[in-house]
Amino acid sequence: MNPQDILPPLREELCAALGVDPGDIRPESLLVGDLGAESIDLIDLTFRIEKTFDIRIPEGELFEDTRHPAAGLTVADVCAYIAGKKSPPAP
Amino acid sequence: MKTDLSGKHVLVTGAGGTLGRALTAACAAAGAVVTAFVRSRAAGPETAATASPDLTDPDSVSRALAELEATAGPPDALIYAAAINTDQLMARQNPASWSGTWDVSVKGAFICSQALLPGFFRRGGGDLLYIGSLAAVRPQPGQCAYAAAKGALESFTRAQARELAPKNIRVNCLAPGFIDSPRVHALPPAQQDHLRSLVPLARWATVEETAAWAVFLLSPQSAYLTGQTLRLDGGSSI
Repeated sequence: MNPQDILPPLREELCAALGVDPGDIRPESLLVGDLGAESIDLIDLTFRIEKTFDIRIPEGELFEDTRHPAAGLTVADVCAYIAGKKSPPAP
Repeated sequence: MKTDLSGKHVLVTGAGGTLGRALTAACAAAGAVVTAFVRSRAAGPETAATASPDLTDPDSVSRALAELEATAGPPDALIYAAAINTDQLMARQNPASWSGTWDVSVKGAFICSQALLPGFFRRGGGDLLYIGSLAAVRPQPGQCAYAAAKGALESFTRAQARELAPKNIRVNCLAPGFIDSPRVHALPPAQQDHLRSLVPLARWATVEETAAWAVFLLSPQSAYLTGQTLRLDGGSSI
């Protein structure tokens, strides 16, 4: 799955989870600083991403400690994480 | 107090008991689709009942909810009425009995509510209602485990409400006192008289009026209420 294919459905889930407008979501947007994500939103996002992309996100892997979310995490970082999960394992 | 639960799917655990049956009936009468988890079908309410999963086992609960979503759709609300109350003086209570009470009353509430969260998040909200007890604040001898578990449920209600409010999920606790039920009638007459004397309003609550408050707590009329324990005990906790 290409990162460019990931952004549209991820944008939908970000809008639903964070209550932001699609136009506010750019690859460089910070989840916490720009989009206002709080810790409970990151749990919500985890559930949504798992369901939408049919992947399993182990606790602490994407958002690390959701009580103290990584301030530097961007939408592009999340796309890259999902792309990595969807990529077939190296032979 | 006109309340309406139309369009809601309410999951009731512990639905085979006296109060559980009344809760199921009241939610259905208020227009909700109700799924009643009962430990034994023979003990279940007249409305459609489902054999309860092991509420203390996350995998069992997850499987049951997945089946439920596929058949009746995802629940919008939970009434957690499952509990074990084996009155026993603490001096004679063994740890297994203590744990059994805690597992069903508290751990089960945690597991069930946690399993419902992904769906609540996805649909933009939900309601969690725990059935507490007067025992949390006015325990009778023999109720150490039960009283402690119900007290924990009240604290859980407050903590969970704080965490989940940003996602439009309300969490409340309904704490009845003495309810007119076979359990009360099974007590010796002298003990019934003593317990009734502890109630300022001098009567037992009916299951119907108790269930009506549960419906209210799930309804839009109580939309601004979260993290609260409503003591429906005829003044017993004053």
